[in-house]
Amino acid sequence: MSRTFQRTWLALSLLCACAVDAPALRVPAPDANQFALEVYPILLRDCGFPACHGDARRFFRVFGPGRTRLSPELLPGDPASDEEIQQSYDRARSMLSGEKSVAASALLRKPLAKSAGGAGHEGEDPWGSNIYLSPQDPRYQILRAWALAQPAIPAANAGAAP
Amino acid sequence: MKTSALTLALCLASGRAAAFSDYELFPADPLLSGGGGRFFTGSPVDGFGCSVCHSGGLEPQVVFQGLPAGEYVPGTIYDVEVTWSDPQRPHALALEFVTALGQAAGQLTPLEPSDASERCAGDASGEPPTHISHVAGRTILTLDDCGASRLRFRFAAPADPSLVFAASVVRSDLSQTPEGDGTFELRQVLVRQGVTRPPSTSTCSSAAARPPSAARCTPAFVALLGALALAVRRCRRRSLSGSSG
Repeated sequence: MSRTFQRTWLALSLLCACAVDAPALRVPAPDANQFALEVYPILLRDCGFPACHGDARRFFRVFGPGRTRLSPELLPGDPASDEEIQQSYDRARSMLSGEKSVAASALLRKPLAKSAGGAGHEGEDPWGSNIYLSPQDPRYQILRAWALAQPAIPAANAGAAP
Repeated sequence: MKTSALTLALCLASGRAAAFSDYELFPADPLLSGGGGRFFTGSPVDGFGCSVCHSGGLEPQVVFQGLPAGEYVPGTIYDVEVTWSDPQRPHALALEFVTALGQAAGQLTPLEPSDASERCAGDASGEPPTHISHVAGRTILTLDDCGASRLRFRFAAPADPSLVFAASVVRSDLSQTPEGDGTFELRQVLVRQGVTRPPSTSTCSSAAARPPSAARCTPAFVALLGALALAVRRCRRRSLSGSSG
């Protein structure tokens, strides 16, 4: 095989690779109102601690009263601001995205005990227990029902929350 | 509703350690900055202790005198005294005894203050700083961070074969935020006398959940260190043999 042919072949391969669109990232957009009413209080209760998902070094963060506040102007006990709920929603739905199904997403698998199909979680307590010991945990069921209720939409259209 | 929310907000902003400033907050709605049923004692029921929010301060030295040492005798009354270093700084505390099923183990009651050190502000006329909460089958003793420097409580041991004693303490830095507060956590598995099961005790002052960037000795890291040590050793041997030859 001549060197010229090899180069041509390589260039053609690269061109073909560029021409193929990468599959669009699909970011699920479950109901925002249901999130604010049912899911947000659960994430506040179980995730939003400063040492956990209130920590600025984590991608998934939950902001709100008695936990990490989004704005330094908010006092610890001030009611949740719209922006805090929106940020928490956006980050939660991002945790639902991925190549696999929503059911296999980080938001639904990380807080679940490994023995119950969980994916492992840094936030296990000192007793070695994860946040939800089984999918039957009432709080986990609320989280899961919310996450699975809505179909995924392409990321290009997912800029604004419904 | 608005009044109670405002009261809770004011309680939190009152300059005391946020999560321990009002015992009524623990079972309150998280939207009202409550614990949603978490008292942060560090027991298996709560999971996390106070260090999940408070951090950055000096660890308080807390002493529990009178606790059963590994084993307890059913029906026995244990009077426990808790003291802490630096009583000038406000300390808050939450503790409980739970069974393997996560229910209250035995009977837990605060003892009447015997002197000013057990009252708010260290004043003989101060309010008693302790509260008992009965929530979801649990009994939790909390101490307000109002300036008491000593706590005494009574524990009547149950017939259960084992139980967990968990206590979590915050030393406030008066900053009105969880940052800068010191924490102390005690988790102790106790067994009924005659039951052969090794008890374990642990105290910790660091956060239960480590920050994502914290360095950890993963197996890969250990292997890497081993390989590095081997390479250095070989290098040294070569240089030694080179210099001697």
